[in-house]
Amino acid sequence: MSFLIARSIDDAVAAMAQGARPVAGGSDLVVGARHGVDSLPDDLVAIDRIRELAQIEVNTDGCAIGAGVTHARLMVDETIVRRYPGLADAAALVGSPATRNVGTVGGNIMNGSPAMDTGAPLLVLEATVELRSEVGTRTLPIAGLWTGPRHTAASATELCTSIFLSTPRDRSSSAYVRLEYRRAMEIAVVGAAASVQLNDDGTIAATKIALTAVAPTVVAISVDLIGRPADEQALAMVAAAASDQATPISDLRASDHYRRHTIGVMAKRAFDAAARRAQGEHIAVPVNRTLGIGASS
Amino acid sequence: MSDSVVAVNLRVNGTEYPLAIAMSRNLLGVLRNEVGLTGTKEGCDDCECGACMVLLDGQPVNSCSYLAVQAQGRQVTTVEGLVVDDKLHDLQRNILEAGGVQCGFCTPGMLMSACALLERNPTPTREEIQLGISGNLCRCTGYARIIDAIERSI
Amino acid sequence: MATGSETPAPYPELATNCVGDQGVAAWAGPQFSCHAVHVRVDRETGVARVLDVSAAHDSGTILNPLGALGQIEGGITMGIGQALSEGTRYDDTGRQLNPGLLEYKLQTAADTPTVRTCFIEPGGEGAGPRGAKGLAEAPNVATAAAISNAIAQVIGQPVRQLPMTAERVWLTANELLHSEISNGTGGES
Repeated sequence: MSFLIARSIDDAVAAMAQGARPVAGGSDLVVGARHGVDSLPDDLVAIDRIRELAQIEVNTDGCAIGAGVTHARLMVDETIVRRYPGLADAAALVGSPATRNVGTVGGNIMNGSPAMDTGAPLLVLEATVELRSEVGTRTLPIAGLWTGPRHTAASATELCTSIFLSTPRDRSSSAYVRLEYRRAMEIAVVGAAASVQLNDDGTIAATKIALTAVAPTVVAISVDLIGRPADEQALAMVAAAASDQATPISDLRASDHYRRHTIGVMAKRAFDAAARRAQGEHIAVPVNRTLGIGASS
Repeated sequence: MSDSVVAVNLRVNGTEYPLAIAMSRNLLGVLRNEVGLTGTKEGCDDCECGACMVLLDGQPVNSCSYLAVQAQGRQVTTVEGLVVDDKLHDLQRNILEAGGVQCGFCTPGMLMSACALLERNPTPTREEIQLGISGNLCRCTGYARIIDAIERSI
Repeated sequence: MATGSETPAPYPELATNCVGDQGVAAWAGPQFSCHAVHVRVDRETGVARVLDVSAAHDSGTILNPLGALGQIEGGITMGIGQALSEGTRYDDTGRQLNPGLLEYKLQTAADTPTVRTCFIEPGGEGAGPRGAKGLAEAPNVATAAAISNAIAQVIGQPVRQLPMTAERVWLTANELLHSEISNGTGGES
C-alpha cells in the first residue's frame, strides 16, 4: 500500500509497473470508489504534478495535448479554441468550474464512460493517443481505445501521456453539442460532435460525426455527404443517420426512444455549427451557450 | 480500500499542519476533523453540490472528492482563510448585507467559488457570475442575492 | 390532530403562546399571489428554460424587506425545479432511484431567471401580528402553474405531470404521451 507523487512520466510508469494506479484530479476515482464502482486501489501514483503531462505543444504537424491538461485550460487555450473548437466546446461543458479545474482530458478518455464529453470531438478530429509503459511507447487511433463501457485497450501498466491532433486543413472546423436539462452540473443525456471540411465551392469535402451516450462507447457514424452543399437536406441526412445508427438505452436520464430522437437533433446542430465555422463564421465556445442548445437557449 | 497511513504536511490558510492520515481520506474530512476547521461543509459528498469547495493553489476544488494526500505541498484556502485580522472579506460582508445567506450551508463553498471567480476575472458580467458559481447549489436563496453580493464586490 | 373528516372546531379567540394577543385566527389570514413567467421551449427537444419571472404578492405588511425578497426568489427557483427538473423516482420496492444530486436536479445559479418582485401591502383586516401574513411557501406554488401555462401556450397543450421534463414536454408536443406512459416510461411521481 503506497502513495507516490510522481515528478516525471518515468516515475509514474515505474510505479504503475509495480501495480499502482494513476490519479490526476481524482474526481472519477474517488467518487467511483464511494459508489462502489471500483474500490480505491491499494497503490496510487499522483500524476498531477508531472510537467510533461500538462503541456500543449504545437508544431507544423499538429498539436500534442498532454494527458494532464485540465478541461479548464482546454476550453480557453488559444490553439485549441482556434483550431479544434469542438474539443473546447466539450471541455467547457464538463461539470462545474471546480470539476473542470481538476478533471483532465486524459482522465476523461481513459475512464471510458460512454457519456464522456471530450471523446466525441477527439473521435471526429481523428486523434491518436500515446500510451507509455516501462516496456515502451505505442500510439493508437482513439477509435481503437474504447473497448466497452469503462474499458479501454490500455493495459493496467500503460499511462496515457498525450493526445495528438493533426493540423486542421483549410476551410475545416469542428463542433460539439449536447442535450442538457440544466445549464451547469450536467452530464450528457446525448451529445454529438462533427468535423466538416469544405471545398472552395462550399460543398462538403469530408465530414465525420460521433455520438455520445447512445452506445456502449462513444461511436462514429457514417453518412455520405461528400460533394453536397451543407444545406437543409444535408442536415436532415445527418439527423436521420444519427438516429438510425444510435443504439441507446433507457435509464433515469431519458428513454431510448427520446434519446434516439434527440441524438438526431444534436448531430444536426453539431454538423451545422461545424460547417458554419468552416465557412469562417465565428461561433464562440461553447456552441451550447452561444447558439442556445438544450437548456442554454 | 487501502488504509495505509501517509505523512502529509498540509498548508491551510498559511499554517502548516504535519499530519499522518490514511491514503483514502478525502481532503474535506481531514480539514474538518484533523485540522479542525469546520467552516467547509459536507453536502452531497459526491462532487455535485459545492458545499465542500476550497481553494487549492487559488483554484476551486470539491474537497469531498479530492484525496487529502494529494494536497501535499499545495496551498489550501478555506472560508476561515478569508478573514484577515478579524475583518470579514468584502465578499463575506457583501453576502451578508445583500441577503445572500439564508440557512448558510452553501455559503462557505459559494464564497470560495466567488473568490476564485474574481481572481481569474475581476470584472465578470452577471452571466459570468452565474456560470462561475454554477457548481454551488443553493436550496434557499434562488441565487439572486448571492449574485448581487458578488457584483457588489467587483 | 384528529382523524376523519368533519368541520373543525372554531379557533380559540386568544392564544398566549406563539402569536400573542392576535389569536390563532391570524394564521389563517388569506395570502394572495400572482406570477407571470417568460419561458423558452426548444421545440425539437422539449427543453424549457425560464427567462423571466414577475411576482406580485399580498403578504400583508412586509416586516423584513430583504428577507422577504429572498423568500420570493428562493421559492421561485424551487418552483422552477418543481416545474422542470426535480422529481423523485422509485423502483417497484419503493427504493428511490435518484437519491443523489446528479439525477435529482436542482436548478443551478446558471439557470436562475431574472426575478421582479412586487409586494402589495393593502393593510386592513385578516392579517397576523403587525399586519403580516404568510410568505415563504407561496412563491413556490404559483411558479410551476405559471410555467405549465406558458409551456402549454408554446406547444399547444398542457403537460399533465410534474416535473415537466424535456422528454415529457417533447412527448406532449408530439401527442405521444399517453402511449408512452402506458408503455411504462412515465414512472415518476
